[in-house]
Amino acid sequence: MNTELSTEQLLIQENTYKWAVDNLSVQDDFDHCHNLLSEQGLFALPVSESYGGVGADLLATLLSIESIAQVNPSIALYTAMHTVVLADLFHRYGTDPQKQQILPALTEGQMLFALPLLQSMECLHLPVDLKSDSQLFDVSGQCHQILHSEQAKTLVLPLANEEHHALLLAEIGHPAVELQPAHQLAGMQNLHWRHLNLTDYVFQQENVVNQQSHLLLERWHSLEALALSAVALGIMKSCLHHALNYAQQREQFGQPIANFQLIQAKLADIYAETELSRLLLYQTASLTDSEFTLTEALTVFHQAASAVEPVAEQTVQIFGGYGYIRDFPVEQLWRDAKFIRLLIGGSQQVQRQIAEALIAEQEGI
Amino acid sequence: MDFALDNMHLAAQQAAEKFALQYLSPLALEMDIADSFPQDIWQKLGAAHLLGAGLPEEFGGQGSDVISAALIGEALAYVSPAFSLSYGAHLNLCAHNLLRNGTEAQKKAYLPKLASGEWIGALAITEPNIGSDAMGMQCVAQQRDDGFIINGNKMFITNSPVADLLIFYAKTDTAAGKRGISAFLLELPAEGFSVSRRLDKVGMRGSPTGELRFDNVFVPRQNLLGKLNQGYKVVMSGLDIERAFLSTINLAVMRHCLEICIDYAALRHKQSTKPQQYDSLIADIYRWQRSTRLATYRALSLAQQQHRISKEAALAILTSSEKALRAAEQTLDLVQLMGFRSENVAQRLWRDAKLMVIGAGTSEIRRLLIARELLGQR
Repeated sequence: MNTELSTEQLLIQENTYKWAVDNLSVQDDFDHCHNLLSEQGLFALPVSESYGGVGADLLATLLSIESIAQVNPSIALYTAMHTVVLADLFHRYGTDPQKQQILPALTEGQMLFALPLLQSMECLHLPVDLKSDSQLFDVSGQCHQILHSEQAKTLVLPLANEEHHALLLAEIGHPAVELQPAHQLAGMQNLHWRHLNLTDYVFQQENVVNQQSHLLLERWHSLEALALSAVALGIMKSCLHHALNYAQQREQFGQPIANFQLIQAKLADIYAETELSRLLLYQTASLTDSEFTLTEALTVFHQAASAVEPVAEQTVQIFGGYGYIRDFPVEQLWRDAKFIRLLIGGSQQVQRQIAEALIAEQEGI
Repeated sequence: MDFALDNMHLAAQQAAEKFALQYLSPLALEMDIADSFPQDIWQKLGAAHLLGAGLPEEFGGQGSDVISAALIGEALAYVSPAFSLSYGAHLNLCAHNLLRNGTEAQKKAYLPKLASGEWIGALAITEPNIGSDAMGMQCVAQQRDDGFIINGNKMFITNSPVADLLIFYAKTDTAAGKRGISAFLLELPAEGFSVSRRLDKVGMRGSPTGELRFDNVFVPRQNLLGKLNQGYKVVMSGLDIERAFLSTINLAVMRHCLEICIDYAALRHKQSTKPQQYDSLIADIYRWQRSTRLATYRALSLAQQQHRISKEAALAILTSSEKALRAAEQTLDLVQLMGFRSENVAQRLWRDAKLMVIGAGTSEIRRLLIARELLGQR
């Protein structure tokens, strides 16, 4: 049994964190952050060496996301959708020409995508009007809640029907693609979040990734769950870091508030939930050949997304009034945490999927 | 990072699961209702080589490690948390403690008897007026040339009504605070020693718990465990590993609760009457069980590698015990009054789980321990 990270994994984690603290700021605009991430080579991590990447394992890539999220969760989330989710899917399901075209550009950070979160309910029911024959997909419809940056030139749409499980790649500058204005969000401020309209967009064969494997969307779903968990873990680690520092600096009644047992209990709870989420994420991502099931990946996400909101809320509580103003980063972490929480929130979709899988297993289905 | 169990661990786990189902399962209900400790099963457990895990072969043990021992505890706890508690007090609190701190002569004298199941072991720290503030103990050991004279009381001591060997702590220098504590071995019965009361507990019934009285009890000098006035180190290192070890009881409780909930939900699923809250409960217990299992195995694994595990062990037992109790409470809510009948396991798990947020340090103390580690105040 080996319960610790390897030396290489620790190096990636520590170096990325140090770099992020020195270079990234929550106030920076999105494109600026993206350029820095590209220069630092963080997009190259998961891409295999034959396409110019580093070929790091899944856990190492997640550690880089966690470290970025400790400083800027929204940049981390958008990056993770590329390095954790899309890089893996293109490797697994792309044709050779598609890989040649996409992976080197992804490595360089030259190819950004607009894409939905499968975890968001709106995206599970993408209202695409599908007219297909064996060669061409002609799609019209509105795509809700698409993550997007000004530099993104390609839209990735997941397609799932009885015949096809595929990624459709659409050119964003194309006249058939209409971008709606970006929404302002209460948290995850650097995320651009908008609706897109497609009007009779015709996808050529070369712009369709995989038409057979029904595992494609399940793989996306699993990796997205781990990616979001890494972002949540980064938020929690940041909360623990700020809470510990502040509790030792802030004095009341003539002594640091860290001396008070009610504050100590909060610190212990923040640590405990962070640590449980960390162990579950790392252990799952370490499984050989990433042979985790969707249920296991969703369980990681269920833990991290359930933990992150109370952790952030208790951190704000330790800061008192200073936690409620923008002088300190913890109010931002609290708002960002809520975004993650909302992804499993009211729908109970994740809980239902986990429970039904376990019940089916019991019944031998 | 690899949390997979190796063959030695799997063998211990499978042997214990088999034993628990064959011998313990038929008795679990009776143990609870009558609060009876099954002595004959204890002998069988020894004969099945399940009481020597983590003890070297030269002392009659299996030569395996503390993870194997804890896995056996987890398997026993699935059938009876109470029996597993007695197992943990015997093997980890008493025998493993003796292995870490005893002299060759002490280990040779006692470990083979503990490993075979001929003897039952126990450990005594807590006193009637000394709980969380363990270092403030009032039990006194007065030095003589040939040994020590002990006076005082101990409280909530698992296995003590049936124990043959007791490790206990007492003050050898009453002015030196925690630096004046020493550890001792006491063979039972002993003159002046008595179990003044067998405690009638709300849960963990079948694991006998006693209040002890020491009235001028003589302990020979060779039964000093570790060095004079250095019992503090023995207590603290022991408490850390005890917390990690006993966390496995909580893992088993959660596994049992999860199975009850899934069975129940599957039944209602077939009848198409499954309420949505079943999903939340099942998904919650599943994530609690999986995440606290990793925390527990990590603490045990680090202990096995001789690391200091104060924070890791406190984390393991804080989270596993609170989540196991919640799982048991909510499982009982799910099964409702059917589960409240004395013969239903749901209510037993609920009563048993409550001990685990109290014993070996309350949740509140565990939080303070973690915080002090985080703040570097140890």
